[in-house]
Amino acid sequence: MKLKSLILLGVMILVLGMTSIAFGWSLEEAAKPYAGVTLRFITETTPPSYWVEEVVPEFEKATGIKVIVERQAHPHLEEKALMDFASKTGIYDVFNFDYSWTGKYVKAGYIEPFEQYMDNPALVNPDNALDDFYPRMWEGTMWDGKAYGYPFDSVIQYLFWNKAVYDKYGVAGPPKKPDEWMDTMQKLNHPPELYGTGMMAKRHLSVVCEWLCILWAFQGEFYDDNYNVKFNDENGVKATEFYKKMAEFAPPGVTTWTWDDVSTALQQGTVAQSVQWDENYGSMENPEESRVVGQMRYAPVPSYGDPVSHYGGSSLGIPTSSKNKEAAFLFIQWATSQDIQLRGVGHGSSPTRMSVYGVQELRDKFPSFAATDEAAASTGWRPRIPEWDDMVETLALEINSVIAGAKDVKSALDTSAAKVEELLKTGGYK
Amino acid sequence: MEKNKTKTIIAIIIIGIILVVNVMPFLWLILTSLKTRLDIFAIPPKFFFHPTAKNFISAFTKRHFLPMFYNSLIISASTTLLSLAVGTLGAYSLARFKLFGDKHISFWILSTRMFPSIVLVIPFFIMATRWGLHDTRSLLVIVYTTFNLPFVVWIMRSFFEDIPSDLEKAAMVDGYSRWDAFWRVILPLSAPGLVTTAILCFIFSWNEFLFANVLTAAMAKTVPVGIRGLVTSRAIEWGEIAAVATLQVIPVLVFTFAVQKYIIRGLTLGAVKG
Amino acid sequence: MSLKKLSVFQRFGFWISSTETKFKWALLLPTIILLAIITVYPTIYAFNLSLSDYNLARAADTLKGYIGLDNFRNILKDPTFWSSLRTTITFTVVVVVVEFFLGLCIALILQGTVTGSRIVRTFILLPMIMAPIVVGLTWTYLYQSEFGLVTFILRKLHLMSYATAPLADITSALPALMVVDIWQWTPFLIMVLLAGLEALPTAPYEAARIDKASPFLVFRKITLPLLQPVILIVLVLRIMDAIRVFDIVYALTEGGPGEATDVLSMFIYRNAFYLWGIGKASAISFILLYIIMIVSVILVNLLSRAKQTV
Repeated sequence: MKLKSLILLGVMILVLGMTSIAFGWSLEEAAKPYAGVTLRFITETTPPSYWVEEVVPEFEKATGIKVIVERQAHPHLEEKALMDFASKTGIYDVFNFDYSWTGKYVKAGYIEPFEQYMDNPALVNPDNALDDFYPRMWEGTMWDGKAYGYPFDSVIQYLFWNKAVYDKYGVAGPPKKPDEWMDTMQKLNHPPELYGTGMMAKRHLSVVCEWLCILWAFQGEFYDDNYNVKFNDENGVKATEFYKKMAEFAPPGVTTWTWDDVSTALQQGTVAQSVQWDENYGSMENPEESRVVGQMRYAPVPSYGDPVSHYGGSSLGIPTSSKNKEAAFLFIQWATSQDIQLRGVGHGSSPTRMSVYGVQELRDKFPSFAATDEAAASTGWRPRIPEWDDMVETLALEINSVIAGAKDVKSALDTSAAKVEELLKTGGYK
Repeated sequence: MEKNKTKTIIAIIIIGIILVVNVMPFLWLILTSLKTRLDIFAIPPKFFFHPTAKNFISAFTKRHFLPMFYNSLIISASTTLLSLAVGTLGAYSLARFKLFGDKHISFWILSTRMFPSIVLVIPFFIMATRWGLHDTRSLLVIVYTTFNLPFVVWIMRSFFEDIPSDLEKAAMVDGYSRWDAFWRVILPLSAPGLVTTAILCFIFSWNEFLFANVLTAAMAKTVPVGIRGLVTSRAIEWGEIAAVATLQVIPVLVFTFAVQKYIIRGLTLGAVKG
Repeated sequence: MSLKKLSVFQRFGFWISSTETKFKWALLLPTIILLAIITVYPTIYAFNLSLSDYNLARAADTLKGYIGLDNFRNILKDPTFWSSLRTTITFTVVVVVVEFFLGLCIALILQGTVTGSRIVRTFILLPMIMAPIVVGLTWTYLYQSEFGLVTFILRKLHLMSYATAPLADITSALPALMVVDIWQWTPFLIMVLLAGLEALPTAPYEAARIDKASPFLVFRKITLPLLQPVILIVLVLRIMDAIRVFDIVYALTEGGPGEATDVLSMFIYRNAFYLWGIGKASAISFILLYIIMIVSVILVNLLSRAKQTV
């Protein structure tokens, strides 16, 4: 009898304890042990980062945890991050990592698996619905079945086109197929005030991303399921010739442009359209910076097959060298929460939650929302293997050389293809 | 006489052109530091505008440049002192005495000055990460000594060779020890050399970028790295870059003005007397 | 008096010479030891790294560790390495030649005339005392495609079209970079050559004037040979610095567009800190070191021979 009641008592206490934790969770309470800590957040120079920096004082006020936001552009983001991780100096506590880097950082042991934090009732906010994240974006944080971060920004690349400019020249938009697209570029090209298209053709990750969209639009493939390189086949050559021709209708200097420069050009109305990351929708509508408020429209990249878009999203993770991992987790949870993402719409936030994209008001106000929502399910992924960096290195060089007029398409593609084949072989994929 | 006059006029014109070409970029930098964002992005470029101190203020309040200036100052001063202390002694030894293998030693010291920094950056980075020295000021002090020390040796040697050795002999006859002869007689006489060398070492360290970029992160970051860090593609903050760059160059200008007389000698490692 | 001194020295001759030895080595050893530790050790360390496939972005178990001379073999087979080497050589030759000729001509003209007050000299030296990274960023700003001052002037002079920008065009990027280096270092050559010219003895020139020799002959037979040591010093310094150039490349182009400005230092940096191939980058840096050693030995030999003939 006594044993039974003891067990019952124990179970009751356990249940009460757990429910009290569940009901009693608040950010302030959870952060108490970490008050006074300073977190350093290294991130890309993307609109969502600017938004987070704007609202960070709220987090600091609620928790007493100070957050320093350090922004770096590609590739300096990795330059600084890897310097810290490799030296285990522990400078950075929160790391904004691209989904294509997940494998690389996990394998090198530089980022923390999130299980231990997601299982910790003291840290986890029970209102934080993890299934609210787009499945594809959630997948981007995972490697080998484990999650290493929370999706932070939804960056999908598709076509930004300026309806006012299209209307002005009597061109119907948006183009649905590449040949139509080239046609619009030609018709809308009136240098030097207006150019038919922008390009992010710098010898940089940017040129590879944009080129991938065109490759897929021509139904080309990077490599097939057996890791046979395919991008230098017929479709790849056609796609790259198309990409090269685009430069005829683009402003001077596109060989030094990354997505940031494209954003500026779209904002200033210097280009009629451009392939661009959806997170820049906010800056198009910002009256302080943009001359094209209300004019931008969004569509998939014109394609001969299925609609094409390119995923470039990133997540927030915790470096293994960080000295404030729990506090970092609290920050990450807060920064990717529904509240912060929702309020940030139009201020730079690029939400990764389906619920935010479902808000009708926002869909009406921001035409890109519908486009992103649709694209999110089928968006194209680039390779996530660690060897991707070296592949980018050769592709960026070769494609940039083609656009700059220094190389012809076939030899550039073949050179890269040979290097990629080699990388796949030494990496053990073939 | 006439030939000389025309030559002088041509010379003045040429000096004038050189001055304009050399100073213009810096002048443009100063102007930019005083412009608002709209003025900076103006096409065509504006020469007349309403100046603002906003860039300077935000550089220190928003971008936290004060600790970086402090770091640059401490590091440059420390490496200069260290290099000067050790190198001057070595220079005196090479200048005055015949040593076994001194030609080879001299050449070796000179060769370290010719070392490409990029060769040393990689091992220093790996070593620093393994020994926990990454992002510390002491590390940079040691690393900068790799080029400051040989520099000190070569220049001070040239200055010491200019001082007649009879002076030491006279001093020693008067009862001075070798060390005292050096410390109390020769060293004060080589003061211009010491000052020049100190200033040049300081300038090299103050301006250094590659090592600082790789070996510092947050705590020991120096001004050159901080300036480069303001280049974050999205609408580069040229105003702030110009403001900090202007401030960074001013001490160098002042120092150069001070040691102007010996600077050519310094920069040619003592070979050419300016 | 002097006899007394001599005998004093002679009497204590042996004792002095041994303390002299101790003294001179005591002064020199700290320099040698310190320098050895901070340069020799890292160099050996770097060589070790160059024999491995160490990569900071890969997991330790995917790396092979020691791979012998494989890095060197692969680099010598890599066309991007050779193109980088060509770019570096082109850059070095052009900037040094231009800086030298400009410097010499201007120094000859300024010789014997007023060189200006201290302030003037300081501002003439301004480009080379500015931090190279600041010089690089300033010129990036001047070359900027939309609002850059230099781009604007070039376009007004019809030297550059509106369809391109100095740093974006594959044919103009390297020249644009060279202009920055020439802007930075020509003052150095002017000042050094000027100092050298003004230190020349007047006797040979007097003799030439009496013999009514032509200015060209004077230049070729008197000035040039007498100036040789100074010329060589300045060429050695400039060539060494030009081969190693980094800061301005990093600020202006990071090696692009394409491979147009991919000098060796930038190539190494990219391999080390963007691609994290530490082993490979170390190997390339050793090749660069080897090149510099060869060049410096050749030049220093020329220098010492020139010193002897004068």
